[in-house]
Amino acid sequence: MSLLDRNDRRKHLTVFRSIFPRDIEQTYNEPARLLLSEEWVISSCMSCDDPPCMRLSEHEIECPEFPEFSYERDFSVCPVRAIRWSYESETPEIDNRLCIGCGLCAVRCPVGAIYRKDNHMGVVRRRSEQYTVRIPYTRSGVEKQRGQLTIVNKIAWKHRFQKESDQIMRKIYHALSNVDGRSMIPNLLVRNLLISLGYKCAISRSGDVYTRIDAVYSGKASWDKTLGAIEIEFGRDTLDASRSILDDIAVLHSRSNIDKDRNCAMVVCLSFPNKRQGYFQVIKDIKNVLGLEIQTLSLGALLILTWNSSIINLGKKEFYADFDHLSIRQATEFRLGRTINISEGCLGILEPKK
Amino acid sequence: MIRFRNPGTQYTTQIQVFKELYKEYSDCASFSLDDMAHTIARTRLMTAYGYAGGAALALSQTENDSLNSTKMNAKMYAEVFRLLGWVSSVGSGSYPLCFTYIGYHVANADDEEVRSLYEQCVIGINNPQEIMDVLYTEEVRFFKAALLTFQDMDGIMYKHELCYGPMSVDDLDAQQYKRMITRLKSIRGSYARYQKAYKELCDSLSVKPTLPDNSTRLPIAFMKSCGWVESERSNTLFPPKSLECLRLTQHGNEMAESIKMLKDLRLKEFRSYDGKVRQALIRLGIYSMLERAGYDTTPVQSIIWKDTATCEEILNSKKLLFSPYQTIRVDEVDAAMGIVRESTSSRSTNVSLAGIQRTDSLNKRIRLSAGNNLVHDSDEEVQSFTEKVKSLRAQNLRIVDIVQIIFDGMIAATQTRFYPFVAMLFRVLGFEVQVSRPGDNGARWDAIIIDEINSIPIEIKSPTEEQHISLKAIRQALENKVILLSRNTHPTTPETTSLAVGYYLPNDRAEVTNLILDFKKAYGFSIGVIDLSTLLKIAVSVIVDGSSFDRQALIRLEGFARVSLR
Ligand code: SF4
Ligand code: SF4
Repeated sequence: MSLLDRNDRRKHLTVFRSIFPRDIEQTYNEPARLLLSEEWVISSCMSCDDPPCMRLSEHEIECPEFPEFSYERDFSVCPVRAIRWSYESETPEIDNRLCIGCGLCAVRCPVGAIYRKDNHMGVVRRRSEQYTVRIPYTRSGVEKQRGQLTIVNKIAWKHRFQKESDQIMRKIYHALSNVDGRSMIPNLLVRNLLISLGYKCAISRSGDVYTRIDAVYSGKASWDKTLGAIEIEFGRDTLDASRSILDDIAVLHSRSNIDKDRNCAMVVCLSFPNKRQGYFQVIKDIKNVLGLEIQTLSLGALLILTWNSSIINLGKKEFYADFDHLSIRQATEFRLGRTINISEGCLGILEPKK
Repeated sequence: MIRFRNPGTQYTTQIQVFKELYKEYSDCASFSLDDMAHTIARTRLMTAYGYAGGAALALSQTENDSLNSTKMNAKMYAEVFRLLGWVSSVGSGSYPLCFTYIGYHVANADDEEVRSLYEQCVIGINNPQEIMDVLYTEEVRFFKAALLTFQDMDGIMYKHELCYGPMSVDDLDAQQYKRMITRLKSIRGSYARYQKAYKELCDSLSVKPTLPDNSTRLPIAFMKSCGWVESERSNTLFPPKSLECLRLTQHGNEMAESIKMLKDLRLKEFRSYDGKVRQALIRLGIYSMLERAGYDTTPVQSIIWKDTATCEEILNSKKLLFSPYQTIRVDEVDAAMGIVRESTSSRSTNVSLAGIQRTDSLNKRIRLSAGNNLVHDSDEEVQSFTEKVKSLRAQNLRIVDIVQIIFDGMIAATQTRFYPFVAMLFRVLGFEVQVSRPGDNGARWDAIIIDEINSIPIEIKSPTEEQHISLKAIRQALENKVILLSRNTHPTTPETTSLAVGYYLPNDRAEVTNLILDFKKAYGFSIGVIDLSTLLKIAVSVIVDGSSFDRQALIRLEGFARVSLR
């Protein structure tokens, strides 16, 4: 007995006619522009088959280096499910009431067709008739598009989603302040940000009470042997995070053969804990006694790096901060290649709050 | 009241597990519970005791059946899948199972598409049916009744209203439904009235108050996964109390509106028709479900037209709401759908996995030996404790009895009483102990044994914080060790233990043991665990018999301290 097909079937794809982009560039809060022939043309949605702006791939959300780790198979790019496919326009559609403006969907678009302007996310639908054409959604069409996008993906360019500011960050942090403790949103967000920054990342399954490790990550490129455990702590109990991470490192060391000295473990928090809370003192103690440098990253820092397609090296422990040096501002600016437009102590993004 | 058994699983995991099962067994005539357990373990969709996958299965197989968590997991999923009509029992027993036509569609849908079909399956749940044993008598399509009730109750409900509302109604009986709404409304407005109504419900069913509450978990999870309701705090329902309520979403409202338009067919009516009509209803039921879920039914349009004509009088130009796989047995549905299943015997999986050794106990015996140990009664607390023990002894009580009396007396002790008490017991043993001031961030440990060579930090958990020593305490003991070595406030060595002391030994002894072993292996530090009763046994023996104990064993303690009284 054969199965029925869906009604809302894909009908078209967009491909380049004969000229491919030679370069891509983007300025903040604008869609990217493509250099086609000798002209800069505003980018538009290609109606990808399997759109990367919506779906992560199997190999991105799994870390084979941790074969025992039971991980969540949620493939959504958007942590709050604000992006959906519109079968009418055959492009993604963003519900701005739900969107928190994390930019994850935008930085995954190979042609930079998603952008944020005036606090709104938009997808460019108006495409250049001269350079692009709609073709039927068929096997050969899909292959053609895939081939073209592989070529486009070779162009080295950087997304410029939006320029950070205290105000933008406050908005995002505010939106996240309402999620409840059991929500998967923080973990999905952190996972997807790390994936955008060039790592594979797996998070523990929602509702899995046996796995104490929040997440694990590893380098995407085969030469990058970096790997580590991640504790995600969006609440206030950062001391618990330092204990948990020692637990994670030990469990992986003894049960999964991940040598503790290889484990570039890190804590991802919403805001840096302040000096008095004791967290950074303990991080320093851990380094003293165990020789382990646990990195601490904030959500804000991950966002800023992602919005700028920065390349980071967690294997170098460049985001290590402790009692003697309570900031990751320098490390973040180094990777951005410019100063950061976030005032000191703002939301505890780069250093503890004042 | 409908008893939804609590499966405690998440939507995303349900789908993942189902897809994995499909990958493995879609070409088999049927699959068993063991097969399911194996798949769940192999694909690492369940874990036990910190191990995942095969290791978890191997572990759980060594335990007795009721503890066999992988199998329990499999059973739980099997029930949910059967409830949703994705699998069905082959033959007369509950197992083995086979995939249904709807199940095939679920397994082949992508993440976004699956949601709309999932919704239809949730609406499809109804009682009575012929596929599962149930513990209740209500004749109801519960999720439809719930959505309509939400609409009638201004779009917001408290979870227990579901219990004495749509979970306790025969929804086809319009009068009964109306009475239910009137009653729900009359209870609103006062927390006391709500309490009374809820208690009445429990009394009438002669169940504990937790049972109806637990029964709401599955339906709430379903409704949230479908996006029909979301949580909202409100104190307007039952003032003055502020409760976490459920608010009908716009989508939930639309869903309610759309199902109102359908011909809702239930088992009794279905059975009242003759064979030909029944077959037509089965086909129409399935195709209309798929159509509502966004599937293109044009390839079967001619069948739909014909069947619609056959059922014209029943449908009255409405579309049909009837989910055959959730109502009647699979062979009857398959026959109507023209599905022929090969009767090859089911595949049975041979589970042979490398057994992982789990150390079940890490017990260290602290030897007591006869001797003239001096009780250090230099301070008042120790003195008064010594006197108390001696006076109990004077009543001819045995050491175990004395221990028991003191032990029982501490069950309600809070930190302020328990921490100094534990410290005092160590002083009885001749250690110098200092209790940390609360809120002293410099000293993270709760107390510390001060020694010229082997100072030992102590993490204490009072029975009011946690009765059983937890993993958390072990983690804190490790942190204490790290801090002490790093900050050098007291002399110690890496080999010296770090202690966790609490009222009872851990509940999950195996996992605590594993963690202690992990810490040793990774960091080289020993964590010792002492429960109050053991500590008391040593202290009381020292007082009563002048026993001496093996100090070295305590200083190097790794794992659980044990003593046997001579
Ligand atoms: S927005 Fe970008 S990634 Fe998404 S479908 Fe369009 S071109 Fe593809
Ligand atoms: S910006 Fe973030 S929240 Fe908004 S649609 Fe894109 S991924 Fe979702």
